[in-house]
Amino acid sequence: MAQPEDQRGIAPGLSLAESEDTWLRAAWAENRRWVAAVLLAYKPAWADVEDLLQDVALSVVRKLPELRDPEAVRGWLRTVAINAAHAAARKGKRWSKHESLDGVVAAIGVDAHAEAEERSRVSDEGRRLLRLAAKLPEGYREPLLLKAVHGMSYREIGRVMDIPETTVETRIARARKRLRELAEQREEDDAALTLEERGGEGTNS
Amino acid sequence: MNTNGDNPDVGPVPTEGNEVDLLISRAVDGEAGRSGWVLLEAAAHEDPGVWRRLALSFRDHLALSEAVCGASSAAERTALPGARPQTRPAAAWAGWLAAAAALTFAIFVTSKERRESPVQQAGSPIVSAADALNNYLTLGAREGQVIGQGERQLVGYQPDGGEYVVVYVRPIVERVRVKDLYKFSMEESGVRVPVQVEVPEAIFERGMAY
Repeated sequence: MAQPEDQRGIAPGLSLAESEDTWLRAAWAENRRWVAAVLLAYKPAWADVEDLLQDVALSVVRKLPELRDPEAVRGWLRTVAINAAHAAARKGKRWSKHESLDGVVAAIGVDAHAEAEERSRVSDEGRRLLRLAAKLPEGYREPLLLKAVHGMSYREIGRVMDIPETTVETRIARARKRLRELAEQREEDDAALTLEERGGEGTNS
Repeated sequence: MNTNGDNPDVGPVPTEGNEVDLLISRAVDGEAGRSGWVLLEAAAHEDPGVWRRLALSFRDHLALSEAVCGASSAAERTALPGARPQTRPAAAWAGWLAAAAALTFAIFVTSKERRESPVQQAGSPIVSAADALNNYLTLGAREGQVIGQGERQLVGYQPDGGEYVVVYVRPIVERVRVKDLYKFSMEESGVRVPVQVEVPEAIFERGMAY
């Protein structure tokens, strides 16, 4: 393998390119859990997080030369993730409407598959709150979901989003309050609908 | 403004909605501290509904954390493809070397993920099917053959020991350049035979590209 004349590997036997590759993989391993939360905050409802993570992983490798300062890796990863989510939204659902593959596979669609996976891991309440969280403004939804990642502090969230720690704290508090309001409103609407249906059943008999 | 006569060091009792919301949020995150809890208790003394709001916030946070945990678990299974980063100017290497040394040392010493996802050294073999797939997608895209992945298609699923076995197809969209196009047609004898077709370029809209 060709190596530059001023090679200084950080470890015996490693070239400069290999060192950068090592660094990138370590950075990905350290940060990918919260990258998934950013995808949850920005992805369209029908998109699959695992597929988007694959897209982000590909983009991270391709776009690494654009990262000038290694210290800015968190903000850069966040940008890559948001762009991947937006790209998915622009692409739309066209690939989920597949025609049958020669009668071998029936394309039931992404939602059924995604629900089958989610059901094995997430409670009904968790899914419901995620759906409601999608109604929050991005600036509140993102820190709320980042805080739900185990071990993420206000300070770390502030570094990812490039906002002060106090702003993170305030936005999370407001997001939680608004989410609770949405949840209670939904419960009231569901209860009213149930009463209405029962009243309709009574008059139809 | 009310004052907390029991503990003048803590300050006035929070009565504004935003102040109480912030205290509740800090308590949920374990950031309230002793003074925060004293203020919360004082606020609840004025309005007992504060305890209900606190309990519901805890419950919401736990449910949301569980939902996000699913996505985080998926991230831990997602490896980077095996492609090397592109060449950068020699002058830019110094900062990368320092960052690589610092971060790699930190990861080796402190990260719990070391056991699950060891940092790959150059020249190491592909260790999982996911690595092989990522390599194929990256190299295929670079060579112009792979366009991307489509949404997975469900073939079927069934319960198994408290979990579900889900079978799906993962479509990979590719392109290839060929000299001739054929379609299958049926002869009178019932035999399927290939028939060459010609498609004029003019019928395609300008700018459409695969």
